[in-house]
Amino acid sequence: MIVASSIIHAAYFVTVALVLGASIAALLRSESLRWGGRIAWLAVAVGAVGLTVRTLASGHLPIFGTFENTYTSSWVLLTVACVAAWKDERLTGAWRYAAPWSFVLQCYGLRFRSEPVPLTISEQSLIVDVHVVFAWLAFAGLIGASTIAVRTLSRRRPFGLDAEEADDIQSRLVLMGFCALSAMLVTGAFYLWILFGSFWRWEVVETLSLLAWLGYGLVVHVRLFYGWSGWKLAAATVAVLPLLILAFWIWSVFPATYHYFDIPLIRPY
Amino acid sequence: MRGLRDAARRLWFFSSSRATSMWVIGAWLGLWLVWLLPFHFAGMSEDTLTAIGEKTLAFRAVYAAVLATTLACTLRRVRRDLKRGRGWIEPATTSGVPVDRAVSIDQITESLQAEGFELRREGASVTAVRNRWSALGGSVFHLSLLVIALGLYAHSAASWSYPLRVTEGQTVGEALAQVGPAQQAPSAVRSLQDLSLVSLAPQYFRDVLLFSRLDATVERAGRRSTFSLSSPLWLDPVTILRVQDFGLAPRFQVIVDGKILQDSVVSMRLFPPGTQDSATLESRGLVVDAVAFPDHGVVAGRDVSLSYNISNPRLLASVRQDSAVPQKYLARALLAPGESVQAGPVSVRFVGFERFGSFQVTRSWGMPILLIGGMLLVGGLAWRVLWPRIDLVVWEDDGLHFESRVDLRSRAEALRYASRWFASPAQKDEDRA
Repeated sequence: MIVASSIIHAAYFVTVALVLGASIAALLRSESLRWGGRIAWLAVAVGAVGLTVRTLASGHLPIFGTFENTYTSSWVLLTVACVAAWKDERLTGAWRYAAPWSFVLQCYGLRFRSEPVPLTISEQSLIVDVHVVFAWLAFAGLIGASTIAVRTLSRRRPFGLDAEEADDIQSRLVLMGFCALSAMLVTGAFYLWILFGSFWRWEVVETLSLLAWLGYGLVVHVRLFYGWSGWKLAAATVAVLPLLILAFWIWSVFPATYHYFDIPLIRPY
Repeated sequence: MRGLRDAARRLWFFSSSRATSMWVIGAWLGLWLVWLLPFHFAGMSEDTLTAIGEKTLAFRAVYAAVLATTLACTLRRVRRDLKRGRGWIEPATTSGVPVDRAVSIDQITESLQAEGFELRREGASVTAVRNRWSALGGSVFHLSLLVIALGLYAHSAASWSYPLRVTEGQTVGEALAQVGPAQQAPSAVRSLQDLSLVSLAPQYFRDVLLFSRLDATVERAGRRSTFSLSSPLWLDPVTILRVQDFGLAPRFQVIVDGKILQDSVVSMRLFPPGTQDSATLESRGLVVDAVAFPDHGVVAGRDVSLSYNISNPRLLASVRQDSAVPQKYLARALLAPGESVQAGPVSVRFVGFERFGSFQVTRSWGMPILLIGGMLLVGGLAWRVLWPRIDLVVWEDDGLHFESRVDLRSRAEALRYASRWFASPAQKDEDRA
């Protein structure tokens, strides 16, 4: 099972690389869009199989350690992009924007230990699973919004949409991401009480998460209250992006946090 | 008096204004970014960060301002949302999108009704609304922040955690007696005196220090319960018994002239293997320095523990006099269970290892308030975002026209959303193109 998991992960990495290649090709030839979309769906399918096998190999959802989290998050991004394109024909080709993120996440994850290990006792809880699901939904939504914002700032029409439509989709993604981020914080706070008897700990991931939540809250407010649109809305969204990325990934390089899960496997001698 | 009223009115509008709330949120964000986040990376202790983030005047002022503006802003907008919730969209007379299909207003009414819309017919126009109270979700979300603040205050004012160290086979009462009079413990802890720890069973991943399981089984009045670190034992709605840590403690007997002067589990932290700890024996001022090998083996001439399981226990016991001045050991030996080390007339026998658990009884009166606040926060947000209010109006003006409004979406998006009910297949194809 472990060997199968490694093989399928390698296949998933290759398909993500192909999707990235297709997204670059689409810049040159619009015909690449159709077969690139098919490769994106193939990557989603291969990734789903890989994550399922990984789950069977490790005995838990793939949420433990940087390798598993980059694997899962890259798949969630690509899947959300493909599903969005399928549900809303205006978003055809959304996979082109998810592909670079997915590829970078995959490359980053390869630097870390990939051996499947059981969940440590502090993570064996349905609350953790729910917390992580909301985290990845928030990540996908907010990265999607940031990608549209970046395109707007670089004076390109995302998906060929007109400005009003692009702002609408961007702000809806921010709203959805904010909802999921809120649910993530609430479930995390409750679980913190279960583990430590406290609802808040002053540690870097929690501080960054709340900062990102405040930042996106401000973005929602400027959109709703002041009708910010165009480059102003895009700039506001992109301004919070560093906080989002740090909140989700700082723990992979900064062990002084309860969210550090690349636990060294210490032998007794 | 009038001046006072005017001042109060100005203060009310200032504190409930959108601009003020935005600035206050921005101040919170800025303060944390500049005067808190960098200290995390500088390696400051959590106590110091707590002192900064919770007790510094500037931070408290910002939190108070956030709560005040949230309350004022929400109260001001609840009235508006209630009024709007009761209302209907008015038919436009100059704009609107033509209904392309050959359809009557009765047919449109029927299909909207089937979609769950509330309808109002006025002559040749029909107004429809769905999720009319959706805007209140925003108020619920914002008020939940105040509930959460109340919960945090209740938690800080009325919560406690009481540590317990209980060895397998021991009751909570016996554990309490070891540290002092039981009356010192809170009543919720004293009520657990007959609770006994039946077993504390760790499991590791292969032979590495990764706990894959740590289940504690307790018994009380003949009933057994098993709980773990991630799934505590709920004693009541606001109190939990948590497993915090696990360790090995040696049981020693101190024998002098054939008489056992002491037979007890000594409080030492000997896990993970290789950790050295000391304990004073109740005899003649002797101290034992100990290193545990739960699964003893010899590798490259060194005593090691081959795993973390108690499979072949040994204890390296070094006995010395309790003194501030470093000195030689009186005796030192690697002991198997039942073996002794002789320090003069005193024989120290290692009986074996016992597992102990570090538990905490935690009570928080803020927990139910925070749970409600959390549910309101997520629920209010979901209500507002996932079920936005949809208003439709169809009227006759040289053919049927329609107008649409969907909360949190632009007019173009709202019309596009409504076109599913009004556009003909040809119109839809044209939109798609």
